[in-house]
Amino acid sequence: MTRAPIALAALLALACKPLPPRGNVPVELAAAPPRLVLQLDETAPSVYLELAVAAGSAYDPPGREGLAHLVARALVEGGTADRSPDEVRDALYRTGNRVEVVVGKEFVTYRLRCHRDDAEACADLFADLIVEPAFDADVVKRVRDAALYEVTDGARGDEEALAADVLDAWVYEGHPYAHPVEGRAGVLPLLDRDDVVDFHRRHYVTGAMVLGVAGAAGLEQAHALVARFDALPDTLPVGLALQQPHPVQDRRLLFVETGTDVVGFRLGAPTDLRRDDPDYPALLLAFTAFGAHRQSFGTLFREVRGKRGLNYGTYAYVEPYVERSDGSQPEQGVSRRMPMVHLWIRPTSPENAAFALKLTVAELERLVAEGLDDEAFADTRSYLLGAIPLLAQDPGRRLSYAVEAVATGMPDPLRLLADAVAALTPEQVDDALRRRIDPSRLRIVAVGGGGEALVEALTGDAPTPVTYAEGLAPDAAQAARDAEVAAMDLGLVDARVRPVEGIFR
Amino acid sequence: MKSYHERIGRRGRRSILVIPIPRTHISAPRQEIQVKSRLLAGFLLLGPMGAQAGEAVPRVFPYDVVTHELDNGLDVVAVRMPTPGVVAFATWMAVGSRDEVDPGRTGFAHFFEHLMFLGTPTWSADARERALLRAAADDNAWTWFDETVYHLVLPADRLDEIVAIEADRFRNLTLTPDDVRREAGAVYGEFRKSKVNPVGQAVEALYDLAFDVHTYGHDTIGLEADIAAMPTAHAYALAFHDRFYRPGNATVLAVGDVDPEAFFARVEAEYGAWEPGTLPRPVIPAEPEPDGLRRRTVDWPQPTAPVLALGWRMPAGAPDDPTIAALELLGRVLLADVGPLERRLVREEQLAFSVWGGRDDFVDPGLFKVVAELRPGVDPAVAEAVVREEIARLAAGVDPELLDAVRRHVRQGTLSDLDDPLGVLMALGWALRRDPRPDAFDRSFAALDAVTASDVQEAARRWLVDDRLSAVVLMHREAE
Repeated sequence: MTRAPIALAALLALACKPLPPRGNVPVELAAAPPRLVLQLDETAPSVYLELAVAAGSAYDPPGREGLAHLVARALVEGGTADRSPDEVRDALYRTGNRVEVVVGKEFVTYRLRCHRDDAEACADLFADLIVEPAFDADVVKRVRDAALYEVTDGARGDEEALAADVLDAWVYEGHPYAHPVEGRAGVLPLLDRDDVVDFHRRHYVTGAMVLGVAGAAGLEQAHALVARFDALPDTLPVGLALQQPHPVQDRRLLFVETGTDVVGFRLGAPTDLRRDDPDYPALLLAFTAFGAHRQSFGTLFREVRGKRGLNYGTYAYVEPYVERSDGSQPEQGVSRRMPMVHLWIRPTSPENAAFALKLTVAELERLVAEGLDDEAFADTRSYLLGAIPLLAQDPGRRLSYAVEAVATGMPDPLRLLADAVAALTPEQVDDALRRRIDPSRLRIVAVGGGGEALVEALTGDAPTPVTYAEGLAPDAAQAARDAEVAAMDLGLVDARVRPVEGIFR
Repeated sequence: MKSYHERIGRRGRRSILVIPIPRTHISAPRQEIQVKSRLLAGFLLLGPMGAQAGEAVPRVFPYDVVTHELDNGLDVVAVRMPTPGVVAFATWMAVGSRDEVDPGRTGFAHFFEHLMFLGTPTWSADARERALLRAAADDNAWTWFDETVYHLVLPADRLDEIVAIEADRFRNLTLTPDDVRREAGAVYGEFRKSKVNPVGQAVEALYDLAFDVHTYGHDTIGLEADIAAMPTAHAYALAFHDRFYRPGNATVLAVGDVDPEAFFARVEAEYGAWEPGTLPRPVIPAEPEPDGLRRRTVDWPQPTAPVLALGWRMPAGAPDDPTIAALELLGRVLLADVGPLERRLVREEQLAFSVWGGRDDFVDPGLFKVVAELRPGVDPAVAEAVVREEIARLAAGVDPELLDAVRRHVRQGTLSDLDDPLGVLMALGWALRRDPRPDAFDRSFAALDAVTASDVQEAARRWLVDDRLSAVVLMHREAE
């Protein structure tokens, strides 16, 4: 096959903004799909392989929700044309590594890191799995059963993740993003190997792929790996028509009753803020100051935990956020064309749940109304300028950012964000907050126990005061703020409780 | 599903880091550190030219480890690796929930980790927060049975500043009663977020069942009644600092873009005045020899698939002790992706979604665990019978090919894993806590290489017996 002009088209499409880092991709490799990112360093101790495929859960056919996830998991475990599942497992095991799979709404990402001694064997296995997966029927069924458990009783084991999935289901109701990537309980039992093979044939085409190689490989090895992808169809990738999510016009609350004695929240609203948006750097800075993921300097962290000890942490995000399995830093490959801004209130006691929610919303209102003070602006800018390079401390993470940038056509934060942040002014940040964030429009999901009582408290006229630890008294200013928050009316136009049973049917 | 290592451990302040259980270690191109001056020549440099006395252990750790001890007893470790502009820094305290011998104080080591962020006369909590924010330092800590680790990743040019700020809090922490009351709420929140997880609760029950007197019997987060009492623990917290937070219990490490000589000088200047403690560390009660099979059923009020958690009491020994090394390999064989339990329980008989475990790499004797997250409706007794059959099979003979594959897996996996400064720091700090000799990493590897198939067989026969076994089954049962 000739290396068709898709990559060139993609490059042209990007020409209006700085190009993401693709390393030194030779012309003959850049000419045809899959699009490539090469960050080769033959002296490195390890080689890193990464493939992003536009085949995430949003591509699930209606009535077949969970298929993209099933394909991704079964691909890795289900053997290849020439090797049984056991042979693949044995071969990978000897390298000391596993193929890591990240299934997002739009992309599926496969990663494999191997020591340089195993570079060739790993590249070979990686290509075998992607290009000629066997999808052993027994493996397909086993993976499907595990997914079914994850969206039924298994979901109760992590109420915070459950709340995030319920928020997606609500904010994106009727949209391809709505269902959990693992699928819906009502349809998972219907999925079989034929569905899996068909999905792979339709979506695993080179035009839908971005392949990255970093570390201990030379151009020759990169050539050899790319050549393996010639065996895949070179048909055009299946497009994904995404309608806008229904606009959120007001505040509503859904309480998912699990019967435990804790309550956690997720709050969000759809947005059109993507990484190429002129307001993205400003809002990233604002939300970093307001509630950076698991950082104690955030306003929400200080107000909810630091001053009042109500929970373990409260955070705010301008884009979908998934934590990498190896640490607290953000996962790549989970970005969305139609993102959501959201807040995460970690579990609190039922008696303080109403207050914690009101305090969080009140702080969001204050942020938008008052903006950041000069000191917070300067500190957070300084933080981001230093922290952006720390996002990728090893070649694997650097590669992940670059591959995602090419796959999404968005700027690579590692390369471009620092300059944009450095150029920001406090006025730009405050202005972006006022124009783009509307605290009066929120979907609020609560998960835990005591739903009826919480709904009653939030919709009644009585204040919902905070209960401090015994012996702890706030100073006068904080007590005044507490009283104000406790008396706040969230203005919920709807608040209801539903049982957890059957939540993802 | 996340692994146990991602779930367990109490990591307080901010992000959750995976607790690294080093998968042991091996060699790659080395970063040579030249002995540049008299100052550095006084440090112990481990490398091809290293001054390591005694028996030679094959070099496996891919970077040079340079160590130094201050007069006050503080150990300092520096490792240079090619991460331009980035360095990881940590103060590794040899204090964890293992030290919680006082009645009513379970969970205190972890609670104290939280308190360590509350400020000093020089650096109030807010001032420290701002300084770290401006320096773009990613700051966090975690606590487990044997240690509490305060770690940061930061731009290398801010290291001097951060060393000063960190040393200050170890030397001069101040706490008010209200600080203690407020922070106790955060710990309660941390307890709440994990208590709905059935697998974590099954494992917690297993340790409670297996240990009568040793402090490994309670989880690091502590018992709920003790957490509820934390708000009033101000005086105890001050005493805790006096007793445990002393240089003799600490190791300071830097890994990444660091000049060891300059780093040692800086640590000397900032941590050198940290006064050695006078109070003795507590005597950790030794667990008597096990007295027979123990069983417990945990009723879970929410619908859940059953969990089977088995734990055999282990012998004591350093990681390079031949018995311990044999148990380590036994665990890796039994629970490998290509091993017998994964094959039978997960793939062939499909009784479980996952199975994991192995030897506890703890300072005192812990457990050899097998934890199976079963499928809904599976009878735990059936799964347990499979585990017993496969252990009996290993006791009768170990496939040498499988053993070789496991050894290679450990070696290659570890090598490719050591690619970021914080990961390397954690792996090294973990090894040094268990064996303070600077080549601890290499020693544990050499010990694994020396294990034979018959050693593994013997370990299964001798240690994985009913007399040493505790067994927990967690199942859904409606509350009455």
